[in-house]
Amino acid sequence: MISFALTMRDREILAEAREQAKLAVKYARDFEFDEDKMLPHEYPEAEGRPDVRELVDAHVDELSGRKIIHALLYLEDWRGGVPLRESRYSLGNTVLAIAGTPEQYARWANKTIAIGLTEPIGGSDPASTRTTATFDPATSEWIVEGEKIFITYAESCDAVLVLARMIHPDRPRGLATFMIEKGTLGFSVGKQIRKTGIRFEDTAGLSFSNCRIPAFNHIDGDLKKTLGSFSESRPVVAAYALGVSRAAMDFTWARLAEIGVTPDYDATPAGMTAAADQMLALEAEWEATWVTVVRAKWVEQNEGPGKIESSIAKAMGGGLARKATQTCIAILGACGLSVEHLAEKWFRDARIFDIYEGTGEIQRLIIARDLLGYSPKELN
Amino acid sequence: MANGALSLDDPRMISFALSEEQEIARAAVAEFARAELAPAARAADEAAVFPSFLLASAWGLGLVQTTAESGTAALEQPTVMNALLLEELAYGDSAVAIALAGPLGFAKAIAEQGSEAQKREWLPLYSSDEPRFAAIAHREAGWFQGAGKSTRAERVAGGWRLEGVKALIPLAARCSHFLATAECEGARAAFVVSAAQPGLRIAPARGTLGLRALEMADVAFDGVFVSDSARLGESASADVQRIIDASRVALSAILGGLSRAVFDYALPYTKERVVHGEAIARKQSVAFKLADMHIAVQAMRWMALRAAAELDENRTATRNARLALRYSADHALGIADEGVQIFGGHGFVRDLPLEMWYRNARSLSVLDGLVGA
Repeated sequence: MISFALTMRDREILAEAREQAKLAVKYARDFEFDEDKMLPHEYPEAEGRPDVRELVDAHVDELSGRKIIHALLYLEDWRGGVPLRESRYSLGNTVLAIAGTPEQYARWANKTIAIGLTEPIGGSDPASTRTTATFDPATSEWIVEGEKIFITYAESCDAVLVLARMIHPDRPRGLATFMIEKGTLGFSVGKQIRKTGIRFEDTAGLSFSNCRIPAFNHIDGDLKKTLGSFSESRPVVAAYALGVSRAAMDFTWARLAEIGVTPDYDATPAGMTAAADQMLALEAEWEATWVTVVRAKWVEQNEGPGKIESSIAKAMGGGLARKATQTCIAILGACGLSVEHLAEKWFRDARIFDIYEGTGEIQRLIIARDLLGYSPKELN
Repeated sequence: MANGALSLDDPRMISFALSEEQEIARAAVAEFARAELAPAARAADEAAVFPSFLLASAWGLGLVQTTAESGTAALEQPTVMNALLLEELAYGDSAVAIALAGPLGFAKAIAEQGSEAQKREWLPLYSSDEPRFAAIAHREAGWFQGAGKSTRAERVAGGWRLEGVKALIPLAARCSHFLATAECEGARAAFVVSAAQPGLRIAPARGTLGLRALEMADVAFDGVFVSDSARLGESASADVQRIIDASRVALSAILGGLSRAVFDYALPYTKERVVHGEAIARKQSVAFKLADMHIAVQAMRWMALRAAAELDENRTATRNARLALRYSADHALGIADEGVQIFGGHGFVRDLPLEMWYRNARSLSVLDGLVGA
């Protein structure tokens, strides 16, 4: 039977996450001009409060589902600006879980594994990857050469799963993934990137020069498996977008209430202020995105990650975050611009969601190809 | 299943799975809409008359009778079911969907909120095989929405006197009853008014931009007397907002069906239509439009069903019903608009349904408060 109701336990855990997000708000600007700083494992306010992700594991039988609540916890985190407790959602770990052997999984499962996909020449087009991994039969090692940019967790991760063009005397050329641990000779991490927003996120470039890794580190993750991990993560990015948008919209409603403009869901179109009308449109887009994100995660729980559902959620989330934060500043005016408030920060933070883990355009290509039955060659 | 506790039948938790009964009903109505409604829609629009040959067959689907016969308490998720079926009807012809949503909303309001005497008096009329129309008369006539004077109910000996004008009621001249909302002693109330009541005047249908087959006309209540027994719920006052919320769910579902029809019609054409040596579907500007249409069609359905499920759980659905309608209205208009654009000149001519869908999409969202479910 169709239902959109959260269980009691769902709501209890999400409410705790919301309380923790409120406690974290005071740190929201900590990274604005101190971008080299790493996010602490947890802020002092986390003391004595439960780890919400442990609560999910402890009560999984009473939830609408682990995946749905997992995504919605990120929504709550992003209302606060920075997470009170660090909870890494790293794609490298997802790919390892999908493509690694049991031995490989056992070796790295407890590590934070960044994913090394984007290069200076190709972000949205991984087929243009130039990083190479050349097999050395003499030592049974792979030698990695190349450069990656915009890598999340570049500095704080334990290892990075790198997509590279495989050069092997006995194997066909193709893209493959390689686990490269921190401290490997020839692997270096660049400086923290100066970004317009999400400055608490650890983002830098990686370079590999005569970087030798053992054969064991070759993870059987081709491009398809690597990109498949996005089907799990894209709705989570849309949940981030929901969180930031919600923060901006709640702040705007609060300011509007001071001049007597409050939500009226029964008002006729001509009986509303322009601000209320714009906010109503945003609320509609927000809820449409929420049901879409929850649906993508529900499909993932029941049938495994849905590629199209994920892309739909990501496209909606990316678009929502841009529109919501832009519109809120237009309504807020001066207090939307001032760094005394967070609206201008949300505006900058929100802009990434339609870019990373596949731009809105990439999502639409994926959706349109599926609808039309076109290959990437036929529609690009 | 990764999560052993996740049961698709557990109503307490999030689930997007339709029940078997819902799937079967949906498939049946979808087939009817494709075979009967879609082919007849253009001629009805041109004639601006509801196609009489469809009356019996559309009524024969039994949507209204099911609600009138069994009441709603006996049905699993009546509002969800109605939303699903109205979406399918609108896929064929949104005018027919609106035509059925009127008596459907009327019967459901009485089944849910009527006194026992009211149920006995009116519901049997709507459970027979004879088609019978009714309308929710909520939206006030006026230059623009919200500017009109509210219809009022004044206390008189033995009942109430209704004064006011309701705008553009679908199939007004064919309705047996109207469920008229009115300001009543400082609150909102709803009254069942028979079409034969003295003082009730139905203006001539003058024609509308879209949904022309609905013969929409204003209905005036010129001091219409109704007895106490005509007030919905009688002494227990009715929850008028619930009726309005259900109406918004219905409209949202109908906008969703219309949008899906446009999408399904446009997609194959974009693959066939060759411009500059290539199918237009292979151009991002067109392919992205299709992607955006699909995104919105999906979201519309879940928005409408979410508000519908809330109504079925007897929760307040005002916010989600309004947001479902807002989202559906905005995006259905955009989809119908792009549908015309994709077909170019062929979209503008009346041989194809695109321009009709465009007019219908604009019209539907203005009908807020006129239909039920």
